[in-house]
Amino acid sequence: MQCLVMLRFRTLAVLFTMALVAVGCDSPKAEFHLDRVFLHKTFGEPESREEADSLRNQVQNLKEVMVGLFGNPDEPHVPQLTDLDTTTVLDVGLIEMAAGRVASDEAGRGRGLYREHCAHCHGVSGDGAGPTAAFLNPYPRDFRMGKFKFKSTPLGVKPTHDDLRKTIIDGIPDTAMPSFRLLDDDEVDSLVHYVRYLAIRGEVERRLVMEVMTELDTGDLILDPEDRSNALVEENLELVKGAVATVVGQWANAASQVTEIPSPPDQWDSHDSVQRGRDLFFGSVANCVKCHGQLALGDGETGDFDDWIKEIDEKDPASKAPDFLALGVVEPRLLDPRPIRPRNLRTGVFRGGRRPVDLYLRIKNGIEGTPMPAAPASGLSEDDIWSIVAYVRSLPQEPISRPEVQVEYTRERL
Amino acid sequence: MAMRGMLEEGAAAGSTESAPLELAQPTGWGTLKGVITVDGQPPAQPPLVQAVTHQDARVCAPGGNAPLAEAVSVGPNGGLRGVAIYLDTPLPPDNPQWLHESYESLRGGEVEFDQKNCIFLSHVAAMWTAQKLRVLNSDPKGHNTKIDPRGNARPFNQTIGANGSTIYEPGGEERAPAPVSCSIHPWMNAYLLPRNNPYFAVTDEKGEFEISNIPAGVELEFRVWQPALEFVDGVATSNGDTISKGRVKLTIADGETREFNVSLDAAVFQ
Repeated sequence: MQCLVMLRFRTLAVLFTMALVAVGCDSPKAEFHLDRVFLHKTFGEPESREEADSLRNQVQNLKEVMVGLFGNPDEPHVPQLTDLDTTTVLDVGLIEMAAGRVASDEAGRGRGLYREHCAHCHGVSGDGAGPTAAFLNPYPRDFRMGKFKFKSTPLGVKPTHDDLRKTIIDGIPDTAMPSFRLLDDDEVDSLVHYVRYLAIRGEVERRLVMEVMTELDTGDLILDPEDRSNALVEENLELVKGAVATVVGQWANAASQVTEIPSPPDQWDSHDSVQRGRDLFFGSVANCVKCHGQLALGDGETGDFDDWIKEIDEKDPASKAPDFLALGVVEPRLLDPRPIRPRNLRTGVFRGGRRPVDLYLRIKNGIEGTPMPAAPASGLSEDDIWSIVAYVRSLPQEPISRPEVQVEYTRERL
Repeated sequence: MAMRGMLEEGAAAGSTESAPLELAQPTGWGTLKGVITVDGQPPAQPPLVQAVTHQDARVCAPGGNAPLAEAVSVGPNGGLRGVAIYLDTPLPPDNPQWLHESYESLRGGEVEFDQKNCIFLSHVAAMWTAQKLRVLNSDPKGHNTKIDPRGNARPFNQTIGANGSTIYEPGGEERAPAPVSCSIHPWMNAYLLPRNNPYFAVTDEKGEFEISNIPAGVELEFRVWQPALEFVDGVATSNGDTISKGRVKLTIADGETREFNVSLDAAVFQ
């Protein structure tokens, strides 16, 4: 019996060694994955073998264009633009510090910072689908849509360099995102540039997928280095460069669009102001109660999804997710496409920060990528917003079992 | 690294909007009109049952009747509502040769986009980026309107108080209509198409549309889009023009009213 076990063990050992010799000890070369959820959603199911083949060629070509523009995780490349200074957004030196394998140079300075600190959750491609991602709630941010929640700029405007620095340095309370306060300044800067690089790469990819879908005829390649005679080359080259310039331009313009925060009025957190904030919270202009709930426990409207889950399907992601899993796409959001919970305002923990200015920005601008809307352009004054901030800040102090104003349960019945 | 070489050659990148093509000059103005119909039994419009149990049910499902989904909305004579037909060829901006004077008065004006009983009244809406969108709320309950463009229009998500309104300025155009939703009432959805030119239309409840004063004598490419099908593919118009991946090339003569009738087999919606 023992002999048998030994024999089996030896067989296994031999097989393992043979496998190692065959494959080699090196791990496979790191590469960026294309966003297969977006690809499949855009192109749909091919109807014939020919269509599948021509689509595969187009996608392979797209991958080559992306490598041409951005390189790969070990050798990142910054696309060159003539009339736009890319260095403020994508600094090659800082990006190289974060890229590649974990190592240190002769002076002991870290290399491969992204893979050391970020990739296990955010993934090598920045898809938010690293090896630990499936175990986390909320899921780690997928950078490829270029949407970031906690920032000082309005909806649709990119976060500033300092916004991303703040998230890395402070971490995000109530999530798995830790604080990286112990990193040196230039290391944090390096990670900010690298995250921006991954986001820009992802956004350009999405734009090019759309271009292939809407502009190219079936089977046409975006750029074919073997066939320069094609009359479409110049046009498509412009199209690719235009996509890069648009995305980089948006990031370059973020700093000039920071929301101005007016000083809070005197007595902004007085008892009266808190009362006013409460009235607004329940009123039909600010309408906070609809999602955050009668007791602000985050149990109002709980059936909506964030934009990353909505990408699977706008209305019913749970029923569409298996289609993607069947294609072999393994991403946490597909395994469990859960709805987004409005914040429980009673805990005193706010993901974007608990300072009054942080809450002001969340209420004024809304939260990108989520159902949280911006304050209405009219009907809610700056002072009103400060009163809501005061009320929200008062909520954790108030005993839930004895709310200051007993709210009548007002669900309407037919 | 042939690809990298090709991408960096001359590195003449930079313009953030795709450059208008070199087009021949238009010889006048024409009209495109027609009707989009469904041939056969269209699929039923499923009720949006979430509305019945929602906290705002009294407004959203009056009398306990759930609103109906509008992805495929077919009128009594088979007319398909909510099909967007729009000019896709990039035109030279602000050039009177390409912009008929009849459109000038629309510049700076407002297009209304309303919601009532927790349904967007226009399931598919289109606008010129020189216009503003007046987002109205005709309900006694608060809404928020969330617009999620994929192209160059601005994302938007604002609360709109009971019977209130707000303004949305897209700032850029979309290739295809962008989804519009309300997070408070998650069944609500619609589409908005902002375009850099005024040559677009959306079919009405009879399936009819008309785009007038289109630059004539030049081959132009149009797009045909419908919420359930997205880009309409593989059908021909009554004139024999083929629509492929939503695209159709047309040259309209000066003074011509070009018929553009499309009959879609009901089976495509299954």
